[in-house]
Amino acid sequence: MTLTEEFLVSKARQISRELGEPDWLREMRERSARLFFKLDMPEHARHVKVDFESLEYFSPAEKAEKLEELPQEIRETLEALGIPEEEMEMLAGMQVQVDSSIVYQTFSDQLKSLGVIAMPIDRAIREHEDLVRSYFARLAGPEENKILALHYALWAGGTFIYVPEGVEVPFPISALFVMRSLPVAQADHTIVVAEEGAKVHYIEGCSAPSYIREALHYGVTEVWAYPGAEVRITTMQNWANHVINLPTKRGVAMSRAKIEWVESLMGSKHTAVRPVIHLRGEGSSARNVGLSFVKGEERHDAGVVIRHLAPNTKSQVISKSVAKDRGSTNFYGKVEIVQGAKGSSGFVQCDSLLLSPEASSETIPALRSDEIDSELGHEAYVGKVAEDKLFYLMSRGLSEEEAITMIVLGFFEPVVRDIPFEYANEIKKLIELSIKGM
Amino acid sequence: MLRLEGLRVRVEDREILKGADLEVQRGQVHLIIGPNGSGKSTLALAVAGHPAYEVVGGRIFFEGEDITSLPPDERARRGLFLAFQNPVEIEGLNMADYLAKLIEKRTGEKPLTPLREHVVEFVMEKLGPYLEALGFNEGFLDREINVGFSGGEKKKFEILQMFALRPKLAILDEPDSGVDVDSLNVIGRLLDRAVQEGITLLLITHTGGLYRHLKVDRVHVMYDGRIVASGGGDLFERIQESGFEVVMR
Repeated sequence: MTLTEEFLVSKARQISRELGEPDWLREMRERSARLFFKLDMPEHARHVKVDFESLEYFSPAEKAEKLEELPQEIRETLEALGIPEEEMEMLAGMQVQVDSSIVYQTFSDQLKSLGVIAMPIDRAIREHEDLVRSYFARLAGPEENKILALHYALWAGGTFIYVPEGVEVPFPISALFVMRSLPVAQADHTIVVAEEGAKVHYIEGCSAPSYIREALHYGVTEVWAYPGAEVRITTMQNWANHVINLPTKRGVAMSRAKIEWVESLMGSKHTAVRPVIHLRGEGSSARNVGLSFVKGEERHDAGVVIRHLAPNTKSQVISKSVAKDRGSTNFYGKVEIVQGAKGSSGFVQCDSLLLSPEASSETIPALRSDEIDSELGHEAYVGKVAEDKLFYLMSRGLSEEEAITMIVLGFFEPVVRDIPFEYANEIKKLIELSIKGM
Repeated sequence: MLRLEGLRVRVEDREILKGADLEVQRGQVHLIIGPNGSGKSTLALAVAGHPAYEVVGGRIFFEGEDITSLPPDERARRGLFLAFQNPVEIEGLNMADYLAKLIEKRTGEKPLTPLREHVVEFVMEKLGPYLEALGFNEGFLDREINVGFSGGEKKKFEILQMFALRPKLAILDEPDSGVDVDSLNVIGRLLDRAVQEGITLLLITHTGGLYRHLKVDRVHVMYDGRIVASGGGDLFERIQESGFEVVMR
């Protein structure tokens, strides 16, 4: 197949028609489809090779009323993200997306009575069109780069969460994304809006079973935290080693608002991600915590961009990565404090652990302050598993694998601490599995 | 139980052990004393199988079998234990999780779930009396391995791990150095208990502080990479009185 402008535009129209979208969305899709051919890859993903022509861009999946109606392999993949099926049924707010479709959803009456909107975004467009429209594509637009253009042409699925003023959502809202068809491209679009003083924790889990050959994940997440709001996003990604993962993440925090982004990234052939958070209001803060594990030939180019645009803003970035085999994990931490953002401070900490001589890791800090009354700090550490630690544990009868697993889990502990128990436990199991057979 | 035959060990191109011979019988308490730098710690680490301690001559027998080329975890599984003089810190590794793993290694039993409360309950059930005897409370199990421990806490935690693993032979490398009198008494009591419970002890000591806490069967003097003298309690007394020169002549 040759990917022509004509093909992409008609694909965009087809998706829009099947989802019954309003004109403004269809027009944005068509415009984005044309932009795809004019734009370059995002700067942080210039070196990522994507075979755009081999991918299937819209793969609707069968919907289910109950989880047990979902195909076996999907249920297994969901369980592999950490939640047993019985518990999944109990979750008050959750949805499951397979390929391009939301196949399962439950959002409790309690959420409704609080005035919270939490639903698949295509449904939100039907039921709350003006609200969705006022946030859609505001923090990341199709004209920025080739991947975003493709996203806005072909996106399907994702979550829309709106928390009204002063409402604290009493439990996390979760969404699980699974890729199944081959070869698939999944482009979910998620928007989280927390009005003044609202609090919400959104957990997204993404997975693809290991038999998947070629796949591209290029979702977009846009986060709005209004004055005094607190938004926490936990992203669990466990990709098979053929998945190319190029998500776009953007957040904006108004005065005194807090955005916390916790991300666990395991696997994928190549991930390039560069979340951007703007601290727009006085006293706002951002915390970005990431864990990354690569093995085989996998490569992660992670990073974060935080811009301090108002006085007394605070940011903290913690990145912990482990590379095994010939894996490569890199982190780009950019923190900028603009002139006038007095009393602001930013701190970046990047630690990596190499489990083999061929593994590699690079940390590129880019700290810049144009304001004298501000503070920026950076700490980086690249090391290997110390022989003395390994010997200490092995002298207690632990095998080399078990000892390395313990040291690696200990290394990740400051990040895993921030992750809900079931997910953290699953991450631990995944790491154990990944270290096996060294 | 443990027999060293002409053990020669090299560390970073320097030969530290120059033909050490030693025999420790089951159920006994043996003491190795000797001046600083005589090779006592090297002997302990080499017997435990530290990869940086290269055996260039001689052999190590444990329960009649040659373990000279076995990896450290295999030696431990056969019932050998080393309490380190300077235990390493392992950041982020939780005490309860770690001790539960050691107990699982020995008994095959596991906590009900990996939830912290279940792990702590499991460890307390198996090791509660030892924790108490060592002066540790449950809060101790929330800490990270050796991170921020005082000298005495480190030594006592080594002893606790010995009881978690219940080895046949425990080599203790200066369990009495850098600890206060109270801790020394506690360690002495617990080592005596270990003997009662059938653990054979090989104690390496610079100060000899633990001598009066235990019924020592045999004393070995190490000097310049060799065991230069072995004897009973009278040998220890003579050295305490007149110094190592007594046996060097």
